[in-house]
Amino acid sequence: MDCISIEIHKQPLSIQTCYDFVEDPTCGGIDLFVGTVRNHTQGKRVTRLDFSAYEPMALKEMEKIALLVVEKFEVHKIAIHHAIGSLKIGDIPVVIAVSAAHRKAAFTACEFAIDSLKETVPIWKKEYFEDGAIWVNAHP
Amino acid sequence: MDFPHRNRLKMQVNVLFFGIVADLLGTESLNMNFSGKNILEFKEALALKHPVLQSYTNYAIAINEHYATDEKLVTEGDTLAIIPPVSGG
Repeated sequence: MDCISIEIHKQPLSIQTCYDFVEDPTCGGIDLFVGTVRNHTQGKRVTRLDFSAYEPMALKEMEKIALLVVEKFEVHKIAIHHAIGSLKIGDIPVVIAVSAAHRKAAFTACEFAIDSLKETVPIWKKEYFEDGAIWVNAHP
Repeated sequence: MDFPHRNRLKMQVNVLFFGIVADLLGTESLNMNFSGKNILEFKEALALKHPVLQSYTNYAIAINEHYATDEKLVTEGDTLAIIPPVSGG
């Protein structure tokens, strides 16, 4: 489908690439969600995050989300790019860009996409602290 | 023809581990002989082989890169991925 762009990278993500993919003269707005690595979790200082993925399945699940977004909302294009590997504070693990004729659809679709990604896409993050590490969400 | 033992035939499957489960087991993949029928029986067989999965049961399974329910049938050569709760984004 030429209205979706799905990528997983070991290199830093490009916000511009996602923006350029969705940009179109028929659109009145582009909504960008940029995930960033936070320096704390529940009061503890985070030093870095490691992201790993079941890459072929993660790409399929990201594609499912993008196709659903295009079907469900009045949007033009969507890009979902995710980084894997070791990320420092402030680095960007995920970028989602959505373009639409009208802003409301772009906002709604973008939120739907990131919420779905966090529920279904087989990517995991390990949070490193000064005194150890945990797999995020691993324990109910 | 009737094949009463059809679903009991030994088969080999490829098993992948991720996240906390890969850490708990100390491996990311293995080939496993399995003589059961569906995902539910596969989970039981896996927990017998790796007792740590008797206490850590908080995972989903994918067959050939698609999420699968307990009733889904397993066939020779399938790739079964053990998927602990995801945390991307």
